[in-house]
Amino acid sequence: MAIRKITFDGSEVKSKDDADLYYHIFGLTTAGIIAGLYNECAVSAGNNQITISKGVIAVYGRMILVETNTQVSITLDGSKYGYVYLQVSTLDNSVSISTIESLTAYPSLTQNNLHSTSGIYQFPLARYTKTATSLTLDTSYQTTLIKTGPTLISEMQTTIQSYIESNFGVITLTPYSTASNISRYEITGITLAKCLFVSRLNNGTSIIFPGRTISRASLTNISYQYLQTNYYFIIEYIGPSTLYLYSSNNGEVGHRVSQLQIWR
Amino acid sequence: MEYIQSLFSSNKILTIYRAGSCAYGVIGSASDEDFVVVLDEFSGMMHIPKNDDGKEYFVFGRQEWIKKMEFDEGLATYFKLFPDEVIGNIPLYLDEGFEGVYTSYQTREWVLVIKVQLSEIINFFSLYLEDGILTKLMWHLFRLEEQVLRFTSTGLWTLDLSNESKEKILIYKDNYRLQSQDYVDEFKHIIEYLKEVMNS
Repeated sequence: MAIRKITFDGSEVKSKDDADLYYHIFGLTTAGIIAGLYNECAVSAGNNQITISKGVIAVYGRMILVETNTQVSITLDGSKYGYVYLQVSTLDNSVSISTIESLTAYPSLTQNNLHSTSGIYQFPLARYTKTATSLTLDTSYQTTLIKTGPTLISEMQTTIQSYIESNFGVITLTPYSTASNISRYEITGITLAKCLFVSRLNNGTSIIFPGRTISRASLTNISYQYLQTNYYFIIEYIGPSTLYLYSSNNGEVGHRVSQLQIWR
Repeated sequence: MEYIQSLFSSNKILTIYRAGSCAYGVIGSASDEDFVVVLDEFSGMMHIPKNDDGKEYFVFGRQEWIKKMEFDEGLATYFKLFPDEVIGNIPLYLDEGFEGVYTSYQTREWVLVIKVQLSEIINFFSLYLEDGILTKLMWHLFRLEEQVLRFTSTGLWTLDLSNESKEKILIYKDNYRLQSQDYVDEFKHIIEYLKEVMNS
């Protein structure tokens, strides 16, 4: 049949229908612990056991509740790397919590695409190492968390803000040398054609020039006036990154460059 | 002349002469035509590029031009690199009242200023060469090398250049953007030679 009713009176709703919807709502996140619900499946270790606190996990939109203080025993039979994982099998419609270990490195988990096919997905809840006498939880290991919408928006806001602050606005450059009263700068990490330069002289004059000007010619002159006298400002750009700035009267302190701002 | 007069209608033009590559007879395929203009009752200096015909005018007030010719400390070194550009250079225009001043700089004893000029040149170009950077203006080092060699053996300072130097300069102008280390090394040798002459 080409079409099938789902949310209609009397129609049959299959678990895969709900799973697909949750999978979509969770931003097509393959699998993860749903943030903010109960204790988010926090793990702890002790007495050769790993304890998982209460939480809800979604695997391709299929929801599983892990109840309070669910415990998994670890047999101390030598030095090994291991995972505690939740297994979802759509082959036999089962869920279980188990461990998998390896001698030399953390083992691989089976992770089939349960949206497009039937199979097995092993979701890692905790990672550990053990010896014949001890069990150590890898506390640096972070499982996937399915975050709430407001959290994601807040994180995105922070990311965008950080991006804007580091890529736009003004930066003030310090010359690496001022030999012969010529200020020499290294300009890297900016697109010249998209910047506006403001060069301040000691006498308070501001000379503004677009980056496009200097990216076209190696030596550019800009005339300016100070106390009814004409001067010019010399901009010498030697690609890819060296900029020389000085006034025609750089012998006078007032006409020397005091600051270079780049507005991006 | 009409163009400059139209821009500075209230100023008297004292002189206009060819400068840069034109003055030294080394015009390359990408060379602009540079002119120095000296105006009466004008304060300071201006650079006026005329983009429609590739001409550039370096406009100086009388006092500022004299400062340039006298290697005045207040001026950026850049302007003190070419005070010999008037030697043997017949101006396109020269006001009668300025003739004496112009001629005095054309005919001055170069031995009196050569060390000052060399000092400025060495300071200016060393700045870039220390960074391993080549600039277009460095072609002047080739012409200076020949001029200084001639001066030390004959006592004559002229703008004449051998065909070999001219060819070297034109090749350099076409290739300086490649920032070849060979040129950096060659210029450093020339700077060392100029230092020896200056200190002799």
